[in-house]
Amino acid sequence: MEQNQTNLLQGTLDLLILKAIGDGEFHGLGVARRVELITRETFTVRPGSLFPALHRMEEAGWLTSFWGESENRRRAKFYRRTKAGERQLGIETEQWTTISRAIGHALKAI
Amino acid sequence: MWSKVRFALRNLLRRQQVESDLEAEISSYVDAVTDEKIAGGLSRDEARRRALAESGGMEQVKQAVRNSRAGTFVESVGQDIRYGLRQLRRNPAFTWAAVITLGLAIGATTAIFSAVYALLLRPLPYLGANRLMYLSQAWPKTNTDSVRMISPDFVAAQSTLKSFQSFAGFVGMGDRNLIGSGDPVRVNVVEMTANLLPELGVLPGPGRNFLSSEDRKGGPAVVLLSHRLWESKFHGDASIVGRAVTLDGKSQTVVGVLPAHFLFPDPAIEPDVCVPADFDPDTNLSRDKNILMVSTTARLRDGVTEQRALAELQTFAEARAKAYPAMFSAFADGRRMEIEPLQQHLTGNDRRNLLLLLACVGAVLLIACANVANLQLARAMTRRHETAVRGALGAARRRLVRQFLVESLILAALATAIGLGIALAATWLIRQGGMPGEFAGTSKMAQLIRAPFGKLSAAVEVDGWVLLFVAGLALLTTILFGLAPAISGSRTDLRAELQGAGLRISSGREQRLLRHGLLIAEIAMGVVLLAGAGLLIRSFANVLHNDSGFDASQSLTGVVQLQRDTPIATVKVFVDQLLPRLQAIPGVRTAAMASALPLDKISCPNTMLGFGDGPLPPPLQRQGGCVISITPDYFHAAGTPVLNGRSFSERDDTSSVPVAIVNQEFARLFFKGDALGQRALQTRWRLVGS
Repeated sequence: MEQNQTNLLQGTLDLLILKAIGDGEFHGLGVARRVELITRETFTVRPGSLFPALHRMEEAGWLTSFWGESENRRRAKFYRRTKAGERQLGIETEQWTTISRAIGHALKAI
Repeated sequence: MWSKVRFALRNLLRRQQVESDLEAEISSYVDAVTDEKIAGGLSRDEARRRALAESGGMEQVKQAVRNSRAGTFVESVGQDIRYGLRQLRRNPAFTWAAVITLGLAIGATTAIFSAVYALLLRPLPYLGANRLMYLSQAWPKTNTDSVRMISPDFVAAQSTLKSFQSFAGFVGMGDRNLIGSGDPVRVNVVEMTANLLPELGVLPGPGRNFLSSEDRKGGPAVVLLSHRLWESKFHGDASIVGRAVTLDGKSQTVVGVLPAHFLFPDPAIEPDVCVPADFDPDTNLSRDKNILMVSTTARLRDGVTEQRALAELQTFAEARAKAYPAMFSAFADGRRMEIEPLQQHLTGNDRRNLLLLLACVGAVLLIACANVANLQLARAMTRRHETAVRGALGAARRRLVRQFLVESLILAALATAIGLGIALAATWLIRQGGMPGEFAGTSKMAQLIRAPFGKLSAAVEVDGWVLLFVAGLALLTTILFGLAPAISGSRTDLRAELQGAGLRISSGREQRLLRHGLLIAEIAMGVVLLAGAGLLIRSFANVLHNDSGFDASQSLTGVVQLQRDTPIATVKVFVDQLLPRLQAIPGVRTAAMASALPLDKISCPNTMLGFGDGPLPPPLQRQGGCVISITPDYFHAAGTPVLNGRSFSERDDTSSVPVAIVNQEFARLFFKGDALGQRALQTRWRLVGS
């Protein structure tokens, strides 16, 4: 896990978190593990960037949070995607697709 | 956006809750990771250690979250302000010196700039004021002051001149007695043509302006009241319109009230009652005709320049002069018509004083800025150590600079508040000084302030833009000189600074140069200012020490207004009754009456003199002096010594030989100092004293 640590592109973290949460409810660690899962362990999200991102996105209204109980019967803060978050995911997906297609073209062109 | 604001408020207001939630969330994360590791086969302690190591430290994570939180900026600025205030409180000497210096300078500059703006720069409060002209006549050869137009010329010009869209005039009629309700009041009266107010773009309300059919000889007895008279005397009652008031015994119908902030277009008068002009429509001049001096304001027709209007006016005046009877030829000889913008006419005499004042406060402002700059520099120097310590403790440079910025802002804000207070008070005083007649501030202060600002001072208000400009300048100074050292200070080598801290007392070479430069500039400006102020005080002292020829101590004065056309015999009866009663008041040593008080501004119409027993010289070659009439004890009461000859006595009455007393200047001018027994004037007074 430590070895295939790849720097997350600035701005992709939001996209990954929104995608990872999907329609479910996750606490911090849950979100981190889910990102690892859906990126096939390419990306590891450290708490130092995970929690600021979660709080920032909550303040932006894309996520909403509540206190609940984790699988290990511990009190934990859970995050859920809001309607605004869903819209944001759409926007960011589109942007990312555009960028990756453009870069793909650029690389082929040479 | 709204969501951000909501969270920002929550973060700021419910800080405790937010912090404990964060703590709980992060520790629950670490616990969950630990649980995972234990499940992976590690011991509890080892699992926890690794969990903490992987997370990169709980405190760091929390700080990262805090930094990304909404409202962080506001919160840290709040910290800066609190810290800044504490710093300023801890240095009261510096703080007070800087704040008061800047505050005074801001206040003075704002007040004077506002006055200059109101008086010299801002258009007059009339519609299309830049097209309004003031017309007069002068005799450049004999170097006399310009004089108002005479009424026959005015009436002729009204129907002749093509350069003007409207041609209006007014004549000051001095003080009259008005009886409306309650006690009689002394009011200043002008008569004006009906087109004056429309020309200025002023609409009376309540009521109406004079009709064009009313300003004629023998027109109806109608008056307009000033707003202050209406408020003070008639309680702002709109039903005054249509009612009658008595002006010098004559009943007149009020047709309207002038607007509240109406400014009469004459530097000397601010009438409380206006009556329609009743100029004689016959424009011929003759010896026995009543000729009035008319102040003339006219509006230029569109597209007509000042020069063209002047040319037409001059041609008109020369044509008129040809038709004057022979006895007025001296009057017409060498006469030049003059035309100047009304604004210039109204502020003419105040211009120089104002600019002088402006220069003075400008210097004061610069000195204050230099002063504060110096203080800031010195303080930044003493704070290098503190800056270095805070830098060493991990304060970002941006944060340090912001700290200095916030302190400068606080200083400037305090100074601006003080300055605003001073400016408001000063402009209030100036306005009080500008109030006319019975409503004038009568205190010495008001009179002193009135002097340089003249009539238009009633319109002086603190100008928001001026205040903004001056406060901006102060802010710039504090920031510039507070920040520059802060930046260079925070750039210095921390280690060197900390090690040398205890030893460093003096500042670096370049800063020393800067401070010396500031000091030199400050002293230079201070000298200029002192010299200016010294000269002003000197001339003021001269005025005070100048022997005015009377003794104002222990004397009281009052004004009694009789009706304008009271016969002279009635006046004498009145004086004869009043004087003994005044004299009988306990504590009164001497009572006397005169047609004017010492230093009163009196107009001297028709006081042209001839000397000896020969015939009167032709008009304009006669020499003049102002004449007042007095009761016998006047000189005694005024404390004026009679140097030669005698004072008047009860025996000098209408039946005796007419006698007069002249002043030294008069005796020197016309009789080489020895006036006693000489004869002068139309009525051939015999001079009995001087």
